[in-house]
Amino acid sequence: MKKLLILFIVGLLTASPLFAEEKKEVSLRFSRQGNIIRVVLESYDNFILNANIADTLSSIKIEFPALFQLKKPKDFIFETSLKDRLLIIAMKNIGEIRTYKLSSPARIVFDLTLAQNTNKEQSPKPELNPELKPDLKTEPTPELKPEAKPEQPVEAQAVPKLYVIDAGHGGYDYGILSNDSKEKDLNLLLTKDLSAALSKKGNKIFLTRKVDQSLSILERIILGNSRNPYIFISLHSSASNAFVVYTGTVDEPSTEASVLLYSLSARQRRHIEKSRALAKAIGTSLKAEFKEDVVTREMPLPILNSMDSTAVLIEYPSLQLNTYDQQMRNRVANAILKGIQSYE
Amino acid sequence: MLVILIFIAAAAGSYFFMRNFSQAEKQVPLSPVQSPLMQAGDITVLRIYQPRGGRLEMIEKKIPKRISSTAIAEAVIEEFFRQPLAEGVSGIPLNVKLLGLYKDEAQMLYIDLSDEVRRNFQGDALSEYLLLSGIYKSLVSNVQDFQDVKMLVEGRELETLGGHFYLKYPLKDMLTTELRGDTRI
Repeated sequence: MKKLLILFIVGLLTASPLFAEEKKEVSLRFSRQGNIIRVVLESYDNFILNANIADTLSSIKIEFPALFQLKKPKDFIFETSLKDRLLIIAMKNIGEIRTYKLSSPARIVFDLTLAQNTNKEQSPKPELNPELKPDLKTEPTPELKPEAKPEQPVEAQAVPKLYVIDAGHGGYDYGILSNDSKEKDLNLLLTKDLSAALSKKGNKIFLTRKVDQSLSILERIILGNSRNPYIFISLHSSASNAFVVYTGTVDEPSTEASVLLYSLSARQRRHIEKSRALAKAIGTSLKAEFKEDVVTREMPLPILNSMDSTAVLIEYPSLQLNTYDQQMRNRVANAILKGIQSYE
Repeated sequence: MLVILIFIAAAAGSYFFMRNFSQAEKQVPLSPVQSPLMQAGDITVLRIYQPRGGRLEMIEKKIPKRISSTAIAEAVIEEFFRQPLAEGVSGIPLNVKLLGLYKDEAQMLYIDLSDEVRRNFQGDALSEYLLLSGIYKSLVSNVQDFQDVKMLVEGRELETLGGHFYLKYPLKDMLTTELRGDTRI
């Protein structure tokens, strides 16, 4: 009997930290910059990932997957109420809400633009419903505020050229899987190799992600455009055994109201000729290096269509069919670099 | 010795019984369309566009007659994902179930698919484009009374299916762009 009691107590002591870990706390913080109020809710990965969000201009409702405890600063400017798994934030005088789910640490970010804000960018298309646009037409978030655009063409600048390189997928989005590797990891390795090759030539590099993290398409677009790059390159794997170099599509905009309502950005329109020339140059260089199938293809990829710079997406031959050791990655990076140099 | 013989005979008997029994169970019943008693007026022919060899190819599928456009749209989605896939068809995720299909007042057709469509999709930009445009083209080819298509996964809006295209927005604008052919270098 005594032994049983001792076992019970030991078990209880061992299990108690596990129970403590289960306790879900959601911490809320906020900041204000200009007419944007940023509200951040931070908690565990799955807790944030599985939260459902519904927002209107007067309230935000967040349903978490389990009961939770809210930790918030005393001076939080909006009223909050908790009901079971539901957190309600009541707001006033809000003109626009943008919501992001981010990771590392897992958090939900609300950027609330105050209603009196009228400072909007010029849009190349009629905006019937800016809320539904895939890219930000209004002021970007404070963290991602773009640098002022130069009046002169970028090529005329004496400063080093800035390249934004985007490693496709990341975090819980693995991309294509091979036996022992994931596309998201290979994209990141190749991005770093290309970055090193470009840096050696005196260029500035900005990576949309430097580690394994989730990044939405929209976040990549915002990050890319905020840097006003000379060239934007996104790296992915192909499902075939060919190199594919993509450019965006810039067909004449439809006049149909329902299409305009959800139309993809046409920011790429004024850069498309340069993007096509870059795609051809990189494709030619890859062909010379690898003697493999290389195709250029136009496709309405949001990340390209929304990019306000020369932009291509490069797919390397499938990681399921090839081995990408350091030597192979260097070959790919150097071939892309040569392509860029011949484009210039 | 006799006991062993009786045991072997019993084992053999039960083996043949079970084999015949299970074979009878495995027999696939004729679908109503295949039934010789079914008449031409009782069927609906669906045009399904599926990815094959880097492009969409249309195949016709016959199903028992459906009247309402919603029922036809449901059948289109079910036939699109139905396994086993025809030879050469690729890039369609396995075990995808249609959870719901409805139209709103603005004639937006919502198709709600199970999470397998995301979890079991593995492909590049072209694969994702062909999957989405295959669904869209199959729907518009069989049902006319909707303006656009919005895809939900487990009742929720996802930003993207495979990391290349938006799912947050209706499919029409993205997928009706006329693609130029590949340029081989």
